[in-house]
Amino acid sequence: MIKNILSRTALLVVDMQNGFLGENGGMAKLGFDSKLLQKAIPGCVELVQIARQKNTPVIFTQYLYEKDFRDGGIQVEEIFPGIKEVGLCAIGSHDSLIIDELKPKTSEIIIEKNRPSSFYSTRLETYLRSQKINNLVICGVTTNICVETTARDSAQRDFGTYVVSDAVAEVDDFRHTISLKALEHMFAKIVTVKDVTETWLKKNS
Amino acid sequence: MVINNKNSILLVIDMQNSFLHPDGTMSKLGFDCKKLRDAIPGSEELVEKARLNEIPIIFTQYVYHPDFKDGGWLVDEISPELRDVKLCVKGTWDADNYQTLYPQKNDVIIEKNRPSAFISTQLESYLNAMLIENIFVCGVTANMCVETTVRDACQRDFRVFLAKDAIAEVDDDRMKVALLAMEYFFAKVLNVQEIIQLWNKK
Repeated sequence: MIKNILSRTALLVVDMQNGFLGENGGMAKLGFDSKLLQKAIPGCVELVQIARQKNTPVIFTQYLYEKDFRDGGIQVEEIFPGIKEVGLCAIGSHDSLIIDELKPKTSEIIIEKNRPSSFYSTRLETYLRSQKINNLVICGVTTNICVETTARDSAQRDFGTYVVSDAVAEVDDFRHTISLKALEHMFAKIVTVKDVTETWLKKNS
Repeated sequence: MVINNKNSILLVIDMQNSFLHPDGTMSKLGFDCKKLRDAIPGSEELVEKARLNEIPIIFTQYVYHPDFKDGGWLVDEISPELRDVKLCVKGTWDADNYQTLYPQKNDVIIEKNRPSAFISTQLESYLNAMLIENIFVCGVTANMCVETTVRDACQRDFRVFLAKDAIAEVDDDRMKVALLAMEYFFAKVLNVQEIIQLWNKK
């Protein structure tokens, strides 16, 4: 039972897109094992299902680059040019779409972003403040990059930040484990799918 | 890549008594400040050479209000012990810069109450006003304030050069992964001598 997430809480599903999870997605083309990232799918599916059932808002983020990657900046131009070469999450591509298992409903918010943090240069924060949402339950990929950057930002903006350890995934086991340890050290409560769903199932709605 | 000494700064993160001095509050929390002191020699050398090369220096200071009303989620829910030991309270010796890494008159000091030096601070407006493109980073702690700041800097399209031998962390695994993560997607990782060579060429 996690009392704080009974109200004023949203589920944030980070970057569950074909580019990361598909066997022919951009990450797979870059040589990463998409099977490791697919480990996040069942947990995310369960969280989304229970959130919808209990009227907890579900927010999806979508990593999207312009087709010519002019918005990639230093990260694409200088640190990881492979992203441009494989066309990772380019607007309009199959790669950019959220996976079928987690297809957003038309009533749900999708936050488009072109940086790891879901807060940077997006409308996420104004949406949360205007809806009086104080707590975020975060799931998705990848643990050490977009999930962790988003969770650090969420905590520093004083949202109650809950990262669901069995509904996030990373291409590298060591980075996955230590990322959760770093988040737990200063930014987030680390919880499980079971902790969250058992709490939400106790809601009256 | 355009690096010159006019569009570059050295960012010295949280080199305060709290983190580095044996009598500081991090030691009271049970952390080994000896590990964090590994960042001192490299940071001293970078500060000295930055001054010689007329590269502006910005020092960040982690500073909390005496009653921690500005602590928020991090202090209230995740690490209440920061309040118990009174970590980096404004105006105290604990919050002051370590003696050998003391800001001088023309240096900029950015006070912050979150790990990122970009959140709710004047850092970004200083960088933009000074037309800065390159940020050279040293300080503590590698996995917390340094990494959060580096992630934010890179996402704002500042080019980050991380001095891997002038940063430190209390936990070896977290130090390793901090370097892996930053090199993977947020920074160019160099050592102090490589950075000084870059500066001297200009």
